[in-house]
Amino acid sequence: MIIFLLFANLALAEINPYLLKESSEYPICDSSYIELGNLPPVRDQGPSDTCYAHSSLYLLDYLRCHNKPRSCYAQKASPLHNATFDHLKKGIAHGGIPDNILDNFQNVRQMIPNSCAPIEKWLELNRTFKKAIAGNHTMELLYNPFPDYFDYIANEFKSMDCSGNCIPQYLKRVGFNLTEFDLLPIVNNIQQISANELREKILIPQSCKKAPKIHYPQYDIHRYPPNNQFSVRTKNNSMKFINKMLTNGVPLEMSFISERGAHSATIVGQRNVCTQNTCKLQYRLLNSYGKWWQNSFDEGWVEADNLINLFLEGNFVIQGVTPKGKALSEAPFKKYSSSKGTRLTALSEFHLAGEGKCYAY
Amino acid sequence: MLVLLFLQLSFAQKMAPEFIQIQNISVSPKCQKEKCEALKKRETSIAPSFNPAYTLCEKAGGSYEIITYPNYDEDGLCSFDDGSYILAWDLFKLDSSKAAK
Repeated sequence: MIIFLLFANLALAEINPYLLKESSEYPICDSSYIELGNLPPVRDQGPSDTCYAHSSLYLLDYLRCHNKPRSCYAQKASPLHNATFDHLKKGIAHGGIPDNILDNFQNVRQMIPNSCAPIEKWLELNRTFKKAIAGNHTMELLYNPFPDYFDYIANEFKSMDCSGNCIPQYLKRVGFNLTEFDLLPIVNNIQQISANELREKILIPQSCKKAPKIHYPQYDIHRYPPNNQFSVRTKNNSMKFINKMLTNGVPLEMSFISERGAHSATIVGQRNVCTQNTCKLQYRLLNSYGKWWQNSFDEGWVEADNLINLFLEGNFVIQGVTPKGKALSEAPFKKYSSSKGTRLTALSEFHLAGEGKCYAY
Repeated sequence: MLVLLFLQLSFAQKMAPEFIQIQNISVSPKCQKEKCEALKKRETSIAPSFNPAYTLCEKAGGSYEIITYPNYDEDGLCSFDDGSYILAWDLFKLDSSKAAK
């Protein structure tokens, strides 16, 4: 379930995989409305492929702070450190797996502050690497003092979708003229370490590991589908799970894939937007593209049907965390009023009706 | 301990700088008075693995920084050699080839 991002160049207009609709066209049917409050601040993953570390961190931070004063969020954890809890198999891979993070972090529950290992360190790495290339260094000069920059290169390989075999092609493209014999030790080195081990090694200073940590409460993990039974997933059951968790006040991490790649974000709300005759379910996503993205894309409200389809295209789970031992209730029935009268309806049934009646009022 | 303090200071979060709005785009005040790099028209393409705003900024020749607002939300700031800056996602609006799509 490694997140691969396969295509390097896309038109910006095409990058939004959520097919946002103009919600202003539809009055909101408020019987469906759930929007979690006191959310973690919007983060920016910048130049790093750490959407999975951000989406899982949102869950953990919400658990830590949502029932505390807003100032609790002033203590920001490092997404780079969070990424290292995903221990991928050896060999460089692009992206990561949020499930692994939640599993592995469960026994640690301490995170390095963002101030100690911020995403900016990734930026620095990229800048230095680019300067090295611009300076016309030979591969040997670049590799010996800065072997860890090969993390950056390795990610580029993955974007070319040719695994280790395209290393010579890539190096020629960026201006290095080396034989494959020269490259062999480098390739071997890259294959001996996972991307996240490499990141931990180069991006998180040793001194940070001794610095005071941010502590997280114990938690239980709730997943759909259980036990990674991906083949049993359905759209209806996915939506029922999301509805149940949101109704219990639990945000959810979800990865989704399209023909161009994959991304991970956190679901923090649901609502129906309706015409006179039909309703469409929307989810609110907390993304890691900064506040501008949230503001500009209707605070992150996206079409649920499309999002679930993209989720089902990959071997992903939907997951949330709750305080350890806390019981969840089933999605409650709520009173629903319409111009046709008042009736009781289960939120899940209502949502799953698709073309269900919903009247603006 | 001093080393720890130094590390904390070196990577202290950058607070959001002053912005002015020009046609609904958040840029540095410098851009109101003179021609600036931040508002130059560009045509760009992006790679999907990062925040796409980062790629927009890099391809525009800018330098990307993450800024923090007083409510702790973050955003990408794209700064240029002439001292001008712009919210990185706003570069999308300046892209003449894609803005209307």
